[in-house]
Amino acid sequence: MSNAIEELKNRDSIQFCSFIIGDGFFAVPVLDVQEIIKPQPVTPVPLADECIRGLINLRGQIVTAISLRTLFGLEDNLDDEHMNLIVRAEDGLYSLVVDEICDVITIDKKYYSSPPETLSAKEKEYIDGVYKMDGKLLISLDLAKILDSTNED
Amino acid sequence: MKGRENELMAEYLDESFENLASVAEELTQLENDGSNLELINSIYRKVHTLKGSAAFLGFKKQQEFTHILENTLDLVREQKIKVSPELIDTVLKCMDAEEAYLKNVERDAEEGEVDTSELIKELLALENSEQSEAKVEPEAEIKEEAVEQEIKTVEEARTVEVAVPAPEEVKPEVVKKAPAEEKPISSGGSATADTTIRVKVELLDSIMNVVGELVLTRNQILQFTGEHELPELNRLSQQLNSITTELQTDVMTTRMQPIGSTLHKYERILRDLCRKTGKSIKLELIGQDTELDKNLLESIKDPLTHIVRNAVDHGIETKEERDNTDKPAVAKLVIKAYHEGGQVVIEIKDDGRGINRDVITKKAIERNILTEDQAKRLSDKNVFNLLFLPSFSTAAKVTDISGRGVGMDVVKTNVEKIGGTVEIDSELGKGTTISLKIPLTLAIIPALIVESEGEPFTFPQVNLVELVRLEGEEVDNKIEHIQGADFFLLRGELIPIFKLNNTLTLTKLKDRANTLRSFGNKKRRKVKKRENNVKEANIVILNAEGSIYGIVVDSILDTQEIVVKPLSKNLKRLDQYAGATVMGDGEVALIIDSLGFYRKLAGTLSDRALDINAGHDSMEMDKRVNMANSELVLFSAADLRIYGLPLTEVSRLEKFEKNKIEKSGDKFIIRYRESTLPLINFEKTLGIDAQSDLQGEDELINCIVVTSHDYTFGIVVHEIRDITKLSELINEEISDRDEIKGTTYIDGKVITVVDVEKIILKQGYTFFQSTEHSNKKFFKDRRILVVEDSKIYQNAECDFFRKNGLDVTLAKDGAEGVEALTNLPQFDFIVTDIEMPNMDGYGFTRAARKLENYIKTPIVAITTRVEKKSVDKGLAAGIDEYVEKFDGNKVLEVIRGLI
Repeated sequence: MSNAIEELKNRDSIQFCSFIIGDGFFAVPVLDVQEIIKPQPVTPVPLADECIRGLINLRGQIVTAISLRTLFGLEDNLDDEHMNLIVRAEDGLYSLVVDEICDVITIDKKYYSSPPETLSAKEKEYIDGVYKMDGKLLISLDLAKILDSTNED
Repeated sequence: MKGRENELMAEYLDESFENLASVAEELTQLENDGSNLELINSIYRKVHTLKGSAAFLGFKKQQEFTHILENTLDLVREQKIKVSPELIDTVLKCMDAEEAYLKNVERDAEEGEVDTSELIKELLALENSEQSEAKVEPEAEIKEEAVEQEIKTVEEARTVEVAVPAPEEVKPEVVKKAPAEEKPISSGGSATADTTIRVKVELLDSIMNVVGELVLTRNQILQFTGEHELPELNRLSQQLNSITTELQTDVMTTRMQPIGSTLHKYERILRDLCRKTGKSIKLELIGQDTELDKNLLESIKDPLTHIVRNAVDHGIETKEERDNTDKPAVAKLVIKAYHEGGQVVIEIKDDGRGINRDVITKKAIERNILTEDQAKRLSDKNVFNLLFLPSFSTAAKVTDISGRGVGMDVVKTNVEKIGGTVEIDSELGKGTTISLKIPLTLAIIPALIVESEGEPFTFPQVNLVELVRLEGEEVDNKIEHIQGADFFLLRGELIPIFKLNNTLTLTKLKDRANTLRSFGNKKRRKVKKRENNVKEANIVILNAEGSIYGIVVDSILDTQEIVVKPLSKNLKRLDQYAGATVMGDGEVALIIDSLGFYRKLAGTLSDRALDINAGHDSMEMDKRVNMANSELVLFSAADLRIYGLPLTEVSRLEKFEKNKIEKSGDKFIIRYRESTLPLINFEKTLGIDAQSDLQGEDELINCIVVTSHDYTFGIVVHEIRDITKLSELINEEISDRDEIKGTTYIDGKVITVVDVEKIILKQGYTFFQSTEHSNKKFFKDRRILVVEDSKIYQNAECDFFRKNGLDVTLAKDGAEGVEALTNLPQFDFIVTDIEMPNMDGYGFTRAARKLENYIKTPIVAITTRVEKKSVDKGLAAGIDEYVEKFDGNKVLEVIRGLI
């Protein structure tokens, strides 16, 4: 199993879990994703950052949910149509709240380029790079930066 | 940790570290009990085992060194060398060298280099000198004893014959030639091998976690069972309940270790310290069997060491000093551990010189942590608490043992990290006691579950003092509003209370919370609708390190054993929460950290409210500690630089029309609230080279009305900019003028903070005190009787009246008041509270008016509620005026009006 992961990491192509926030087409490496779950009851954490939605009970584990819409400066979407992308980080699990989940995409690393200037400053902060696909631009997010940014006072 | 990879080596390391620890312990015992052959034998055996194992694994250097040590010990065993402090010293040092070898092995899987040449010399010197000396000594008197002990040794050898090699076999050559033969000895060394096993701590941790999950599931099943009436399910879930509880207790017990194993280390530390400082101290350990979670035990080691060092270095007097007192020459240090209310208490008590509170307050005043006035008022306990402030060392000199200024604050932080508390108690000349209170375990705790605005919250029960429920009128009667803050009268003492829904902005959050909770269409827990016509308040009274305060919640739901889960790092800055937990119904609830919550709030409590609460020392102190949270009024002067003035000193911000300003001599004054307000030319006072607005063209001038020493002044400024939180402490070193307190940074800009009092003094406004405006002169030596039952108001009122030159007498209730009136010389004025035990304000006034010489004396009632009904009742009883609690100036004004 671990060999398989090593192999995946070293390949020329990279696999992404893609999703939509607002009009944007975003992705995080599939290896960072533990699972995807439908909307869950959230316990709000008073006085926390705006982009922190609250806490989710994931089979007894407590997961902090971060609204990527709020983080990117968009209006938060509080309807029941969103999805939770559960990702693994050093200090436990986080849920990235996204509008819609798309496919798992395999892309060759050679299509990578650094973030374009046209993106909003807020988005740029959390971006690792972009991948050009036919007709679309896939924006790959930097998880560490997202989790760190919500860490500031 | 290369050495751990090899199983054999790991075993060797575990065993040897253990042996070293117990040898060190036994050596210190041996020092007090030099003729105890059993101890000597035990030490010898362990060293021998160590040598054998080292040889087996091929650690030549360690083996040779240990061999020499063993030889020395052999001579001790044969009583050819006397047990002396020097001997113990050397052997202890040898143990350190052995430890160094072991650490090398642990790290590199090789014995490495340890410099033992000095030690070997010392060992050989001991052998030579002592041996000859011992021969000279008469042996007669110890002979009998020795024989007895020999018998004992033989007996012992018989009972544990597997473990103890007969001394003859221990010839070093044997070991060298056939190390393999020694192996069974080392592995069979423990007689308890069959009944105990070694378990990795990580495994225990993981079991603990799983049990935590089980407890959660159990809670959920119990809740579910309660909702459905199925007898069989009910029976099964009760069974599950009891089994889970038992399992939980057992698992927790596996992680428990007697505290003795940790405490024994201090015998060695103390011994070394004694030899270094030349003091002689006896260590007494009490309650060594008290058990504590292994992780917790680990984390209190450092704090304890620090405290012990402090006690030896600063606490206990030098020999000479001690000789001058009537204390015994040998000082005593007691470490006592015991259970108390679900916690383990560890007390470290010395009989040394104690802590001199004056030294601490002096230092605190020097550092501007306290004013002299505050220092006087602070209770001993709070003075000692100052020692926990970072870099607050009072040690007169820095020694290599302690006194570097880092210390007690680190002790406190470390202990708090594991949910414990530290307290200092001391009596000058008698000694000092430091108590650590440590929770038994961290993972699963009993907690109280409450609800506010439909949101559940939990409070760990350790911090819980009591629950108070107020209904109907009580809500108004027992909650007092002082300067915008709420206080609750708990058995005669005012404690600050906070509404959970306000402090956590729950009301604002409510709609969002309801939406968030409804995700996934899961049935939302029914929030019980309260009948709105009954007014009620539920107050959770908490203890935050001695500061008692209350949190008002909507309802109190339940108590449960909860599993504490830490919050993710992006929520760590919220000190209000200790973590989160999953409740019986699967909902997540936040755990309130009573200390963090209080600290965050103490900063928001207005300083005025704190001033009124002057009797409440701990809050006073928080106020100083939270100086960084105080607010500044920012304004610009004619030179357009930004200045700041502490908001606490500001009464109002005003705009005055220029043409209303009058000139009296060289001073500017204006009519203000039926009185005269002197105006201060800020620029002139500070020597700023720019024209004040007083002389400018503008029709309106900006003025900051300040009050100092009960006099009111207007400082004329150019423009009032902002009111802002002070983000860092004021740097007082950069102050070049008296009128300037110092500078601070706000948003990257330098702000000059001015000193109101000094500015006023600079005006020569002392003349004020000699005019008829002066309350001081008017009231000088007039006698006032204050009838008041609340301690805090007593202090506030008496202080205030005294400051204004009055001769104050205090009565604690109406009955005492009447007594004072009849027995003491004539009073000029009386102020009284209305609600009081024994005799209330009405009764008191009626009684007073019946006395011949008090028919016309002004009586002013001070009360929180000025209602028409009660005013009428009061006037009928003979009260002259009502004043709202507690506006001192107004009271004086009223009294003057009455005369």
